[in-house]
Amino acid sequence: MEGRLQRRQNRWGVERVFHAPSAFSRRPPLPLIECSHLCRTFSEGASRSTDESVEGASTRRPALADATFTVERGEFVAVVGPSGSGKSTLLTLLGGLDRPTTGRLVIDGVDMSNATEAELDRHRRERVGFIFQSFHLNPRRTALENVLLPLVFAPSGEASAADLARRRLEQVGLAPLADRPVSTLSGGQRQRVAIARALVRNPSLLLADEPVGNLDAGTGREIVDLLRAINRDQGVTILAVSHDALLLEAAGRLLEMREGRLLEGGAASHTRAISPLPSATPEATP
Amino acid sequence: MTALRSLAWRDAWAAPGRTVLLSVGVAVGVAALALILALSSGVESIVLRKVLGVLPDQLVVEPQTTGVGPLQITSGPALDDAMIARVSTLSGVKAVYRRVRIPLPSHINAEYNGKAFYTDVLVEAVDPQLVEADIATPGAFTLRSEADPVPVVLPSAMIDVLNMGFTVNTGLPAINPSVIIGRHFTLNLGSSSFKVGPNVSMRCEIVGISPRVFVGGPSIPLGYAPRFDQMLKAQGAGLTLPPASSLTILLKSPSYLPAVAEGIRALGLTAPQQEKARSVTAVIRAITLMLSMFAGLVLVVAGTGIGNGLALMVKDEAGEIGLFRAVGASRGQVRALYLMRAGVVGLTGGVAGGAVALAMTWAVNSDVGYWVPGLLEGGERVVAMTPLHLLAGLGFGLAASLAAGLIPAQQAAGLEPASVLRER
Repeated sequence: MEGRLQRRQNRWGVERVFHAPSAFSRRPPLPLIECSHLCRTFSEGASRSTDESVEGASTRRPALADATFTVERGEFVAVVGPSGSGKSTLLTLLGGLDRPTTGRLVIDGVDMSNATEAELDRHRRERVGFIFQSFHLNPRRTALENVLLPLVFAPSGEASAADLARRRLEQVGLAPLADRPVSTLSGGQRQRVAIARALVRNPSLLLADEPVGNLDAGTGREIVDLLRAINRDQGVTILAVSHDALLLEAAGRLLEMREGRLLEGGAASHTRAISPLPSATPEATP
Repeated sequence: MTALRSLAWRDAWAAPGRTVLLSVGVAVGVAALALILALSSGVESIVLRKVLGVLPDQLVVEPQTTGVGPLQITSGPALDDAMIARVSTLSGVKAVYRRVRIPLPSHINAEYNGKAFYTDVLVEAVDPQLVEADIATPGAFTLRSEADPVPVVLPSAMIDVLNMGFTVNTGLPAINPSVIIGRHFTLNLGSSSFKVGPNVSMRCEIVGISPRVFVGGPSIPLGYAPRFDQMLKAQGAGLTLPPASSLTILLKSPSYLPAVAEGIRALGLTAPQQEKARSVTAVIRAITLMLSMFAGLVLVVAGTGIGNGLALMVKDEAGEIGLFRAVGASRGQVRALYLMRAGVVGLTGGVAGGAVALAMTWAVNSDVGYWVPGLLEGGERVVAMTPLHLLAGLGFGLAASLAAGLIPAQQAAGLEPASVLRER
């Protein structure tokens, strides 16, 4: 066996032994996301949360059909496509908010296709950060309290959760406004709070659904720059649904979707987006 | 869990008006329940102690009698020395004291602050040790020479009755031990409003007030019984007094009462005071149970309100619940969060209800103390509120709130995050 034995304890104190590859045997790291023939179908006319397996469902509509692609660690990927093309469904699957109907989805070595409820909870707590078009902040709470929210459900183990949250706010340039209610902040500042909240648990994957969709051009540029810096400096993998030209330009690769299908994808091609798509008109997130 | 509790607390008070409104019903229910329990406890205590003269650590036993009205014939074993010795050996008995009822209707002529006072009484001779603790000057309650006034102990209940009627009607100051100890009055043994026969008149001196003596008149030291016997025989009354007409059994603790009562029954004796006390207690407790059920209904209605309110909150906050799930909250944590919010409402209502109950307790006791002076002397309270009553109210209020929060909490936990986030 090449390499050397390493012992590590996980967060529950269980020791795991594994072979750390030597310099001569180093293989390319596994992709962060591996999707294989991923499908998600819903009953037509019913709530989108209704699983297609519901008995008696007359019509089944695939929100996502046969998506196969990989995303390497540290990539910045933009997902584009018209309304109803399956972008948001893809994000909910990657974020562990929903399960695929068929196909295989592996994130960070964990098979999400057959994950239990507890495994999905842990995935959302530990691996993923969400950024939404409408921020999803509680306007009654301060910026700091909003950033602290993920730590309520999964204590960080650090001495002070508030210190950690303040560091994240400092990272997005909002330290002076930490104790201000979110309702008094501008749109750009709110999205920065949302980004700080998404980062507070040090996720390996940041999922953004139209992160600049509700912002003016200048503020949008600042947010795109911030996301690019997070991707570059912290190595956080970003997968963003967007039609914003600046964001598409910042992304290292585009995944284009039409009617639930992926037009470009498959192997990690690292295709650089040269220009925004012709249909890149901002749309409301479905 | 601490962070979750803190979040639930902050969320509940983010809209204080809503939380306060939801908790009003709980407050009413908690206050009602605590007051009913305290009122029951107070009334029971007053009726037993002041009306029936029952103390929790003593039992008064008599021979069994049968008959109609005043025509009573002893039908069980007599209270002779052998029986007294057997009673003394019962488990839980600390001491046994003899009491001899003088079977002659008598009356008292007294004067208090210039106002004449007359009342019919029955006299009992008691073992001085029974009232030792209630005698103002130790040793004063003992057999004296014939020339000296007879020392008497008055029952506390008689003082209460006098304070509720005589002093109020005459406008005189309330009677208390410091006012009447050492005072003299005339006792006419064998003469009353109902019957005047061979009688003996004697001067008496009040040496103490006790809750342990017969409530129907003054008690004299046991040593006077033979002397009275001889005096009345000389008057042609033909009286023969038994060694004891009743016994006061002092218990090692009130918890021995059922066992000793059972032992007494087995010996063929009876405890009429205890029987009356049991009946009164049963009636009071039945009333308490019924009133508590009404308070429980108030809590059920309050719980329904909380359930509806929380269900609306879950609907309003569906997007936020979706966000909680997106940042890693499990269904269990969401359920716990909404149950905690129900708990905050219950706790708020409970604390408010407790405060209302305390205020009403103070108001009622002050009012009764003002209108019926003497009733609350000796630490008695009509509304005998204790921390236990408040805790019982608080506990039921909290339980009703949590039960009401179960369905909304389950609804919140059942929301699909992908769906609610998309719809928001």
